[in-house]
Amino acid sequence: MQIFMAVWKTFYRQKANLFFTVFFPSILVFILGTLLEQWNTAEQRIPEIKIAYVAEEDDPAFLKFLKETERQGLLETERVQEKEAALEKIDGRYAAVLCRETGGELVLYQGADSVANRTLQMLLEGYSSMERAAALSLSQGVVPKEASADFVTGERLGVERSMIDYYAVSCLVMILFMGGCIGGANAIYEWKKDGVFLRTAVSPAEKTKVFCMAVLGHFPMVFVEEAAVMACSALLFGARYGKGVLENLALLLFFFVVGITLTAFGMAAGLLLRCQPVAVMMPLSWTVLFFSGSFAQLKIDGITQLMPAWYIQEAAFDLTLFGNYTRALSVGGICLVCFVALTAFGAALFCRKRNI
Amino acid sequence: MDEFVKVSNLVKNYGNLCAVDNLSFSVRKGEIFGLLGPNGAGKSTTINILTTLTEYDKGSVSVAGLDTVRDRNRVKAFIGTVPQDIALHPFLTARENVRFFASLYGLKGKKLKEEADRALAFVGLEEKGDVRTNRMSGGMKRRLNIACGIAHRPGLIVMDEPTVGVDAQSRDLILRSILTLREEGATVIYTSHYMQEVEEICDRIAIMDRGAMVACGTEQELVALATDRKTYEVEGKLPAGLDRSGLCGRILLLPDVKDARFTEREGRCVLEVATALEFDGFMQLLQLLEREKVTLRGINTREPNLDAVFLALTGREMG
Repeated sequence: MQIFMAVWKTFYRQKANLFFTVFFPSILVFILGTLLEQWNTAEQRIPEIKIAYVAEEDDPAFLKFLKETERQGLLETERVQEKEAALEKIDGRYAAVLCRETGGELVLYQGADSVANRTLQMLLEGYSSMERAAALSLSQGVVPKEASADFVTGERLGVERSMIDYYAVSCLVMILFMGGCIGGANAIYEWKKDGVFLRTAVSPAEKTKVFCMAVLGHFPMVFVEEAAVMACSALLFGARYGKGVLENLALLLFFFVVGITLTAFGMAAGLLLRCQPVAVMMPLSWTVLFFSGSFAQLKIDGITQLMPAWYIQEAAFDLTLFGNYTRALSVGGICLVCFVALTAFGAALFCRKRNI
Repeated sequence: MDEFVKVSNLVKNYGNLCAVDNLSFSVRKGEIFGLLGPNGAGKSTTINILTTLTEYDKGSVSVAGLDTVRDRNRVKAFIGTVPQDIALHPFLTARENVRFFASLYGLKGKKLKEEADRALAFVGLEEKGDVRTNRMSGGMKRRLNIACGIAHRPGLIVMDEPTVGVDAQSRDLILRSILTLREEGATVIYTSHYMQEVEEICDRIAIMDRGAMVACGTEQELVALATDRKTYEVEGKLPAGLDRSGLCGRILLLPDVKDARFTEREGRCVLEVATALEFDGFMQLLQLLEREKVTLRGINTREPNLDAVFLALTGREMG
């Protein structure tokens, strides 16, 4: 208990720790979220797309599809009788013309606007696939159930998010990496520098227990760190995390597990490092975060997906945006296993080290 | 048992450097044993081996009859360490530091608190218990460093230069504390650069050089190894017409006087009288000088010290 309290007290009595682990990240969320909000725009603007279409009355599914897309604001449609007349107005009045040809084939007559064309293709591919699937089922005698829902369920993502929300999660991941890796390694470095390691080495205390208690001593710090940043960024800057209390608690727990795992990693690494931990852990953490796509639009297929921070972020976004726990559970589970392994490894190293 | 600490034929090499070269000595229970020597003599390595911090290559080391290798953990429980570098948590208070380190020796609960308070009072820091270490003076930190090493009441206390960089008041307090520890039954191994301290508090002293033992014994025994005399330097006004050689001859007749001569020093005439170490005829000497009508201005005693011992035994100064 003395060890646990010593680690905790050493943390909160240093004003620099409180600044860099609570206030600074909260301010960073605000700054990045507001300043960069204007910078993160799409490369191209999806224009308003107006199409003309030719269809028969006995094509209710197709008509309903078009009506729904218009209702959702995806397209503006105009029904025409004469295909040829409409075709002459492509790239003028209409971006494209859509026809149900004889034989049931859907044909899209495209204009010159490539963005509009891509958008229309995506929409129609989805609809076509659905049509083919329905036709196949009917040919095999499968009668679809009467669904109360529309073919195209008019359901938006239901998520409205800003850059502050994005950076809130990203910054939390950053803090956990920096705080865990650097903080953990620094704790061991301080023990070496202050001679605490020496006194521990000459005492009869069980070294495994000492190391484990030192790791446990970081638990309150990890919790306070993330809870404070979440609270500050949410209350002061309006950042949004999970949709409800349960999602937010789950997110808190998830980040806690990640945080303690990174701390255990930092402490184990601290036993191996012979230099200032910042010199190694800072560039390592920044590299991992950078290639995880946290702060840059950099995403390299095959590399980004190897970064632990990327998995953690994706799991957090899944949880916050969609209320999906699956990834968070699997990443959290892996972190727990790593935490146990790293603590055991660190304890073994600590036992073997008899001198600084 | 009389030999509380026994070191036999100890050897420790760091690559090609022989840090400890066939070292043997023993420390009796309840004594303050001084380890003296220049930088690089092997004192710290020996201390580290004793406290099980460093492994050795050959030989054997035992504390209270326990081998430091086979019974490492039991030996550690016996030993209290006061390292040369201050080993304290900077952001914990004095009391928290003592409690933290005492807890590593199995103390807990009420006993932990009591022993921590006792240790703080022992070093004169009972009123500074709630002061953080990083706000203490160097002398206070040194005292706290000691408190952390003795809170668990160890049988053997190993102190590696505990008074480095402290003010005179703290130094005196530290030395008196060490004497008190001995009175309470602790055995102390004390290393220092300051010969005066070693001479002042140690019962026996070992002088090391280049990893080996040069000499070991009480201060008197060591001094006797180097020289068999001490010198009195008498400054005074001589009467006119004094027969100097006659006076020296008469002084030589006093028991245990080995030599008497006049020397010139910075324009002054000084009478140097060399005697045996056990000379106790100082009053007789003064009476003789009075009879010869020598007006005394000052008398200086030049007794051999450990520096002289080291120089005599190694041909080098301790530095």
